[in-house]
This record gives sequence, structure tokens and C-alpha cells, in this order.
Amino acid sequence: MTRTMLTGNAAAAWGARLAEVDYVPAFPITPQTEIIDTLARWCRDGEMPAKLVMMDSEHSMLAAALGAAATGVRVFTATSSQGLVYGFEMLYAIAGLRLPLVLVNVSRALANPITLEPDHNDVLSARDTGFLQFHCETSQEVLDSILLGYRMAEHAKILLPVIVNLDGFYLSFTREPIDVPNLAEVRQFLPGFAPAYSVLSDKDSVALGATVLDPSLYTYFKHQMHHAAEAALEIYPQIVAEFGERFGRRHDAVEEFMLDDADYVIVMTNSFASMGKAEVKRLRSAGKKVGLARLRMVRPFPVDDLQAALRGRKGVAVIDQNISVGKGGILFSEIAAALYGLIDRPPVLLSFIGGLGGRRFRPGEFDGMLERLERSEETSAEMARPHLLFTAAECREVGRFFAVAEREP
Amino acid sequence: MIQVRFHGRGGQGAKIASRILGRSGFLSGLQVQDFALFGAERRGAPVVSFTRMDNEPIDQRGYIDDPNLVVVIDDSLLKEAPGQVFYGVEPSTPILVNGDPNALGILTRDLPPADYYCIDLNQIARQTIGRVFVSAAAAGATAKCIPAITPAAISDAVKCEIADSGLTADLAEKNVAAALEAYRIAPMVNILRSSHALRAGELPWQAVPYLGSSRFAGPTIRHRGSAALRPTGNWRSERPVIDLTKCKRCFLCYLYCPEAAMQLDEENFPHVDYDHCKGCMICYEECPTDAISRRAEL
Repeated sequence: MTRTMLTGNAAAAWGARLAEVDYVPAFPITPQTEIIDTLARWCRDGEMPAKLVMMDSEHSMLAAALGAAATGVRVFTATSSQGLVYGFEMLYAIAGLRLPLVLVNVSRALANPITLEPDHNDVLSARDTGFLQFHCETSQEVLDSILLGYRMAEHAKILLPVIVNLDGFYLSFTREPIDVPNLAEVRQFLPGFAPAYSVLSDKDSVALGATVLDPSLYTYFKHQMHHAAEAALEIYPQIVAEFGERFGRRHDAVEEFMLDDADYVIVMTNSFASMGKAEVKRLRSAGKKVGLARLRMVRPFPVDDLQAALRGRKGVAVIDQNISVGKGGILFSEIAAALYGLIDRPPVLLSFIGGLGGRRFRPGEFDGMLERLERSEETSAEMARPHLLFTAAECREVGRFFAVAEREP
Repeated sequence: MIQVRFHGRGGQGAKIASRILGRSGFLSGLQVQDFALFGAERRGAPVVSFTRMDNEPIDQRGYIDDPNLVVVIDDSLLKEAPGQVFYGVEPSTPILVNGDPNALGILTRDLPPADYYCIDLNQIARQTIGRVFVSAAAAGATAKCIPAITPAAISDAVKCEIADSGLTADLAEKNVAAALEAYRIAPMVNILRSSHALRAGELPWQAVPYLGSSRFAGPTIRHRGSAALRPTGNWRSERPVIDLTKCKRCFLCYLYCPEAAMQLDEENFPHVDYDHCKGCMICYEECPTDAISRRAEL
């Protein structure tokens, strides 16, 4: 093991290197480029015996990933935002063929308006595809999640691809100390890929992707995928426990932070949860009984873990770093559904939209969210609508831009 | 927690400086994080990078709002990008400017109140490296303010980061010398006193007013020619200079200029708009009569 300073992107590259991937189809996009840049350098210098191929688009990249994975090799690829949605068709194709590869997505808000900083509309657009999703808070978690991701994806009872998500800028370009395990240790945890079957096998050739015009057949295979994702929920605790024993780090599906005696809980995901934890610590030191639950595994959706973390609380605020226009926070809706059947569900459940396009939390916003939870007299209308975080100061600042944008020449 | 913010121009080494400082802290046993904000920036454009250090694991991310120390690698940013440089700066916040210490008064005239210091990083780089590479010197000068960081850690950090950026061992040694010289002569700045409670008692949130569909429902700019409001001439590291006696008025420079910074006069001779020319030198490459030469910006 080596302890060093790595960005989230470099940690992703190390994850692929330590997983000894065979094939990396690639296409650059800010803020993901450093990943393929690093892998390309290692491949060129002979430090990594993988085949890296620059493709002409993300759609081709993911199509190549599909084809390569079908031959039974271990495939890694990475994209971001516009690239993910450009290749979107292939996500369903890969998952439907039950091909176990790992795709890193570096979150970046989707255009228009065009920007570079993160939110999660990109990765959550892939929530229904059949990819399992791990959302990371730290560089360490990025590396570890890629190793965990291959173990999950290639498990004979799962055979579903995995997306490992990290925030652009806040994680992709942020260096922090991380433990890089050595290859021998990793091989113990993640042996080489032994596919159940492959297209190019010299023994048993198969045809993949048969047309299914019978609705019952289609339904059968979709149910199979869902059952596999449910199986992943059962299998994950075993694999994460084994990882913990080997490497000393636990990556539970839901991370509980200062939850033990918390009356109020804030739910967050990804790297902004670091800042949420800092706010929770500050509020704790002011005597507030508040904690944070970080949703790390988004697919399959860890209903039991979320129920355990949130049941019996007086109030829960879900901060979505995404917006389903015309509805609100995507994860809020899912968490509300997970809690609905509980007799001791939190009486107050509020939805906040924050961090769009990388917007940082403003001073007082966590205090304000907690005050809302403590009021405990929310109407059903207030609990059904999303609360969009914005400040008067930002309104004034936006007005300044408008003044420039509309001035007559 | 100690939070240092570096301001420079793309290509001047602000990112590497933040990394050398971060690695120095890491090698000294501190919890550290370093981060650079870039993406759409270009060589010469204002860039910003950050280093955080603490004895505890760091739970802040992203932009540093309340710096303990601001390092300005290019003094022109004090006037050109004050919104960035002075963001979150209070009168007690130390600002370390790359410049001649004797010119401190002139450099900081009419600027917002802050605790200004000067160190001539360019001079150190010229003496030790022979060229104006100021990353290592900027990191060395900054490390002086952080007692936990030792000169040995700075040396190792410079070697490690310079090797990562692909430079030769000889250049790495020269950069180590630059960092240590900057460490030696840098002013001792007490950066711990500048800790302010920015997070308390500010504005509550408010809903975005709904504007309807007529104005600014989308990101549309109605003000034609507004690009002229943003001077980008300071991004140049080189300037194109036209010798009109050689010019045949073929308009190729005018056509190829990606910034519309080439203007034609009444006689159709081209002139460079130096307020907006970014110094890409495409005009220099395209000119068929070699009427355009390149000059280094100082």
C-alpha cells in the first residue's frame, strides 16, 4: 500500500489500473479527460498492459465497450455529462446484454445553459438503465468503488454493469491523501474476470442480443434484470465486508454520520456531503440533534438501509443536487416512497434542491433547513413541493448579468 | 484549518504552486487538500487554485471563501480581477504579491484594505532557474507561513511535483533551489490570525422570482457587441505586430482571427485590437507576406 495525494480523476485511473482492465475505449470531455489522459500515458509507457482506443464519440465508445465486454475481457471506460447522454442509447444495450463493465461518470451539469461544474442530472438520467450506481464522496472512495464495482458487476448472480460517479471539480480536480493498495492485495480481492460465456470463445460460440418480439419474453428479461439488481442488494454487504477486512475501509450503501441520537436528518450524496458533514458538526456543537445520511448506492436502491437510518426521526430533509423539471428532486421522490409504508415514518419530510451547476451552499442555509424541520407544522403542500435554494444576494448578482445582457448597443 | 488561495494566469504555475504546497503539507504529516479551478480557461486567462491544511481530516471542498492567505502571482490581477482576488478578503487578511518589495506602496495604491506583503518571485526564478517559472518559489514563500512545513518537505514536494509534470531532474533541482530561496527570504506572515466567522448570520434563502417567458427565461444575450466589455488582451504572452509596409491588404489575418480582434481601417489596412487580442498568433501563421511579427509580452 502507498499513501499519496491523488485527484478523484487520478484515483479513477488507479482503480482501472489495479483492476487490470483489458480494454479502455475512450473519448475526452471536461472534467473527465484527466482519467483517460493518465491511462493513455500508462498504456504508452508499458506500465499498464491494456488496450486503449480513442473513439470518435461517446456513442461509439460505449458501443465498443459493449462489443469488447461481450468477448469476455474486462472493460473500463469513463465519460461525463453531455458525453453520457450522447451515448445514452448504448447504456440500455449494455445492461440488457448483462455485460459487466465499469463506467466512471464525472458529474457535470447538462446544457443548456452550458457549464462545467457538477450536478447529478447527468448520472441520474441513467438511473433506469440497469447499471448499478455508486456515488462517491472522496477520491479514496472512487478507487475503492471501481474495485467493488467489478466484483459486483461480474458476480454470477448479478451480471449488470456499474457506474461509479464522482463530482467534477469538487472531486475530479481535488487532490487529497489516499491509500493506493498494491496489486497483489487487489488480486486477492478481485481475481481476473472469468466470464460465464463470451462471443469469441473458441469452444462455445453464442449469438447475443436476439430480437424479442414476444411481450412476455421482453418482460421476462426485464424482470431478470430487476431480480439481479435485487440480488445485488443482498450480495453487496458481503462484498463490502470482505473489502473492509482486507483494506480497512467500509463503504456501506448508506453512510450514517452523527445519526445515533439525531432527531433530524439531512440526506445528501456525493462530494457535497463533505460540506454537509461540516455543517452538521457545526450545528451539533450548537446543541442541535441533527445528523446526515449519505446515499452511496443509488442503484439498486437500498430501501432497508434508508428505512433503518430514517425511521423514527422527527424530520428529514433531502437535498437533491438535481432537478426533474416539473417535479423536483429525484431522490426525494424515491426516499418518500421508501418511507411511506412505515408506521413510524418521519412526520416532516422536506425536499431541497441545492448544488445545481456546482452552486455552493450559502451561510445559513443548513440552519434554515433545520429550522424548517423543527417547526413540525408543515402542510402537505409544503412537503410535496421542492424548495429551491437561492439567496437575495444571488438574485442581485444575476440582475447585474441581466443588465449587461439586455443593454441596447 | 489553513486555507491558501493562489491567483495567477494560465501557464504561470498557480496550480503547480498549490500542489507543491499541498504535497509539502502532506509530507509534513498534515491533512491536506489541493484543488484548481479550470476548464474553459486558456493560457493567460485568470486562474485560481487552492490548498487547505489541517490537523483534522478536511471536510470543506471547492472554492475558498475565507482565505487565511491570498497569493497573487501576477500583480496585474489586483486591478483586472479584483472580484476574484479580494473575494472574502478582510483588512486583516494577508495578501502576498509577486513583485518588488520596494514597489509595495505603488502596487497596492487604491486597492481594498488588506495586510499586503511583496516578494519578487520572478527575480528568484530568474536567478535559480534562469526562466520565470514561479510555481516552486510561490510555494516556498507560502510554506514559510506554515510552521509545520519543513524545508526538507518542501524540497521533496518540489521534486515530486516537478517530476509529475514531466520536467527533467536538472530543472527539478533548480526548482528546489527556487523554493528554498523563496522560503529563506519570504516575509514571516502570521496567517492564523485571519480567521473570520463568515459563516454566521448571513442571508436566508429566497425563491428565484419567476420572470415569465418574455425576458431571460433562457440564457440569451440581447446586447450585441457585449464581448467588447470584457478585455482579454492581458491574456497574451506574445503580441502580433503588423509592419504595414509589407502588408498587401489580402485580409487573411482579418478572416482568420478567431476573436475578431483584427480591424480594418478606411484604406483596408489591418490593425490589432490589443484590448481583446489573446495572442494566439494565428494571424502571424497565416500572413503570406510575413508582415506580422511576434513580440514577447513582458
